Amino acid sequence: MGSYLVKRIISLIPILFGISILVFTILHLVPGDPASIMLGTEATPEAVAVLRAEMGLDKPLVSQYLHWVGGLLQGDFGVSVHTGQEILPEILKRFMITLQLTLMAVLIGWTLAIPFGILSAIRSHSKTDKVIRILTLLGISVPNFAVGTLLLLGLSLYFNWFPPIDVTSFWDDPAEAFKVFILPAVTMGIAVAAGVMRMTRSAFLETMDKDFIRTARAKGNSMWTVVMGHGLRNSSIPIVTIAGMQIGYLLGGSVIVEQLFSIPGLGQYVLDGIYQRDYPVVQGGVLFVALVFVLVNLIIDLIYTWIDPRIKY
Amino acid sequence: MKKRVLASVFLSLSLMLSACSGGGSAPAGDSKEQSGEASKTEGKSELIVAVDQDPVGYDPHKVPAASSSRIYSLVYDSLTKLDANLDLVPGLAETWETAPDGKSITFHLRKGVKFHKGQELTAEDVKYTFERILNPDTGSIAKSYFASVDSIEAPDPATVVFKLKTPDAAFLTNASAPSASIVSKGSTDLTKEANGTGPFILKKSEPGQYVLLKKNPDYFSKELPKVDAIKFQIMKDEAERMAAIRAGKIDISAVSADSAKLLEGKPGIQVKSYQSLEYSYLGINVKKKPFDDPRVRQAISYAVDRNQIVQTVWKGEASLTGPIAPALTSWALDPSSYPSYSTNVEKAKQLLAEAGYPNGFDTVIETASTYPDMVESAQVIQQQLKAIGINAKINQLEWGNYIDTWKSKDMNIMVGRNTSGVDSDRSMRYFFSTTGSANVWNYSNPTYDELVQKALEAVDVKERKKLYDEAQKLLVEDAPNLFLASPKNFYAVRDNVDFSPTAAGESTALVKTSVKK
Amino acid sequence: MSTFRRRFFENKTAVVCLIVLLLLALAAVFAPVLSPYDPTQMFQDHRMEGSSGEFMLGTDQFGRDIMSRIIYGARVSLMVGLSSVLVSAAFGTLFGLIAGYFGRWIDGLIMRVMDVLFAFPEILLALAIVAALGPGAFNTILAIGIVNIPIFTRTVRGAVLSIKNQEYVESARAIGASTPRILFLEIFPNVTAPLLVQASLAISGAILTESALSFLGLGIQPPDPSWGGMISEARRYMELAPGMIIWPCVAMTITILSCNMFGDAVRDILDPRHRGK
Repeated sequence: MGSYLVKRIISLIPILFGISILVFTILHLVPGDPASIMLGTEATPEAVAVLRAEMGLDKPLVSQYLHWVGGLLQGDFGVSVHTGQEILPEILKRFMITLQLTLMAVLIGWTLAIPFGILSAIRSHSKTDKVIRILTLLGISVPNFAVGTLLLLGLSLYFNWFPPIDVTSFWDDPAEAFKVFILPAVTMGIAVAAGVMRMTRSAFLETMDKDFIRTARAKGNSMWTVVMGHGLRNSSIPIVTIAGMQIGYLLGGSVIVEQLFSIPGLGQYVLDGIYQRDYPVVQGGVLFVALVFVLVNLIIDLIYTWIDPRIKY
Repeated sequence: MKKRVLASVFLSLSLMLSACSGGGSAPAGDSKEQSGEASKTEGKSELIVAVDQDPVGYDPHKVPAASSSRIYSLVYDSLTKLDANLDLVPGLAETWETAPDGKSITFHLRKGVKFHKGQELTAEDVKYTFERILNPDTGSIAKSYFASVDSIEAPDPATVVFKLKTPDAAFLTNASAPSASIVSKGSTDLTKEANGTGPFILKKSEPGQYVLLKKNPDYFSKELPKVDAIKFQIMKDEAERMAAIRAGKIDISAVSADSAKLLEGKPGIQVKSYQSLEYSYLGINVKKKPFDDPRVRQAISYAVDRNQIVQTVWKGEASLTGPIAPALTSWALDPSSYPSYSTNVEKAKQLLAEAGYPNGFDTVIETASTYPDMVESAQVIQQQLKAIGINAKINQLEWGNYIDTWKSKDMNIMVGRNTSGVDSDRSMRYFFSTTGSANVWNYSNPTYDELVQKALEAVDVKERKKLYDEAQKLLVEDAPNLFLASPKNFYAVRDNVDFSPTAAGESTALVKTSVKK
Repeated sequence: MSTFRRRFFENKTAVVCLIVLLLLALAAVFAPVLSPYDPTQMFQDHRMEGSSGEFMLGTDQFGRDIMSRIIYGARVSLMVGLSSVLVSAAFGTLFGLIAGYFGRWIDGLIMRVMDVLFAFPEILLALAIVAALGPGAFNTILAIGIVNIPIFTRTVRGAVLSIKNQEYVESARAIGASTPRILFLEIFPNVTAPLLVQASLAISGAILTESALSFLGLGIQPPDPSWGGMISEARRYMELAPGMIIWPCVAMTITILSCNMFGDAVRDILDPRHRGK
């Protein structure tokens, strides 16, 4: 177990290294220049040149890359070329916001998906099953920005309601934070629900087919006891897998939802960085997101051994 | 069967729950008070203004972006100011006089003005400011505004004298620009600290969330500003801003003409508008074939129905415009004096045929994806050009890419929006003279250059007006740009807020804004 | 294969979805014949109108016929969906076959590269690629295609691993068949099933990704109508002209629903464990 963990962590190094090269390359292939963007269409060439030099962009690309990676190895993510602000603290601050949003969205998604997924599996191929499946698919077949806009405009029009404009954390003011995150979380939760419900249904279908379930049923246990006692635990591996992937994915920040609801999360930070060609911000942000993603996947693998002690690494 | 009913009940319940957790907790109308604004109960007033973009820096001499300038123009003052009618009024300079030959301008500074950090404003600060702007190492965009300056003298703490190489009719207006903000002597890194003399003090900036300004209690004009704080709330999406103002979470927001229509007459909201100084344009690269032939450009001008753009893109809330926006009432020419503004497809086809393109040609219109009005204008123009056989492909560029293309001087045609500026010199020389720093159209016409240079040096206003009239006609005839429409700007304002925006700008109005309790 | 066909036609969902998808494809192909108007033609005097005899689904902010735009939109959206999936499936299959068959360091190398792509936030990667290549239908397809390569690689590799040591592969090797022959003639046909399922799901994903890119201003270029582009444009007019957003959403929903349910149905048919249900 311990040596497995060490091996896994070591295998992360080339991945992160690859990502650092990929993000740096793509970003510098994107036309546009942070200095010109900051100064706008009115800038004179000399003004741009001065600013470029201040931003350190007049150096060759390779040396810019080495400088960046050199800093990273010492835990230094550098500063934003636009604001001069330290990047790592900003990433961490925004990550906490994205984390809260993600957890809430996942909670909403699971609350909807798991009961319905189980119901759908137990009554597989019945009308109930079909209705549930179509409803969940509906959730992912409309772009989330349309859903989000509808929620915002509808609630303001008919209920005169709009979420609080200042972002609060659950540990500071849970009630207020709930109001801040509820709309974006519902918007994201719908898509989460679709994925989890799908997986729950198929995992349950598979489990319910197994001999030990038949045995349990034959012993005269009620459906409910069997489902809760045997089905859930034995179906949980694929469910945990997809849940983990979703969390890893959502923790990268849902760019569109954050943009729509002005949630200052990680996704928006990186998106703004791309728009403004704030290279260190995008590089640092993407690398951080990727790190979180692979770590979440690692944790999922560890959870497998906890759910099913037969799995050994 | 029972299960099915249960399932649908649960689903609708959960949907209701998510709606009610919003709807139920805040009864209509007073959600703002509920969100716990302690400051209000203490008799302090905070204005919340929604803005669409994060500021990109606060150095007034370096960063011209509107997102930044709306903030630093409240933190700093300039020598002169423009009032609501765009007339010059005293700023940090109480009076000024221009020498009879127009070659020197003397400013007498207001006494007792203090920077936010406490030191008193002197002529040395003004001298330092302008030297900083003119220093090429600063890379200031305002440098070109003051190209006529030869030297700056500060004979005593309250007097500044600018010696000019040539008379400069635009100097006093340019001195009112936020990019000519007066900073304190010796300040270098204005990104990190903002020490101005302005009505507000920069208190806090949370990237992606808000910028908070607090009232400057020592502001030289005792009755201003009228509110204790302004919070610029960053809300990128129009739908979000609209929902927020409807629910009373914000006090002021710029909105599009469409949203203005929806909000008009809604309880608790007033819609304010004014004719802006901006205009949308179709820029043409006069060096590129086939656009190097003036007949092709005129053909395009005859083919484009500007009224359809006004109606479709701006919902009728825009005016036809020439190179000087109609808001500059005393300088702009009536668009009906431009023959090529009448839509005439036959004439356009004939001009194209004369230029050797009887069957039209293919081209690309570039525009910015960031601004829906530009994309829409491009689509209307694309349709109208089809009628004369010009097949244009639209390329929506992401903003950074757009700026690059704009500067490349290598595009074909592009749709954009400019601000005509508060002085005709900017509208004319800056965008279209051979050496103008924003002339990305490769347009070069010696007659035009001479006209606008003479106009800049003209001391007599009538003489100046005559020169600009002639230059405007020449420019529209040559058509390096098609001037499409100058839109009205709309603001949605809560009923208890007294905010009257004008072409002079948002900050001029914000300083005078008060909140009724 | 005939058993597959029989089981397929016994599955009502699969048949209905297939018919819907075929109809959509026909609409896309015959768009010029079917649509009442040119989708880019602007009727100045009919802006943002509701449904009428003249304009069945109403008009948009330019006075363009929404019906015609939706029919032409089928062309654009299906093309983006299909072509981008073709890109990801082609590369994904190639990489997956190689990685799964050869194993060892080749497998390690390919899968690490896929991990890199996979860990990169999807929308941001697509956005960066489009920004780098410039806007346009081809580049949008390419960007969405690249983003989805890792999923296909994983699917195919998994399938290859499960069959590469089966007897018929062994025997092909024994009679001295060349490696490409084994890969493409023996192994590939047996991974088509999971590939088909994955592809049907990925098409709907690609259509959604295109709509997200449109929301960020970098999808299919106007005035060509894509459903995602129509929806993101219509968002600004949601209260003034709800039809502008409703109809493209309906079209998109039908398509995505059919794709997903088709994929599910095929999976059920292929999965021996679900036989007889």
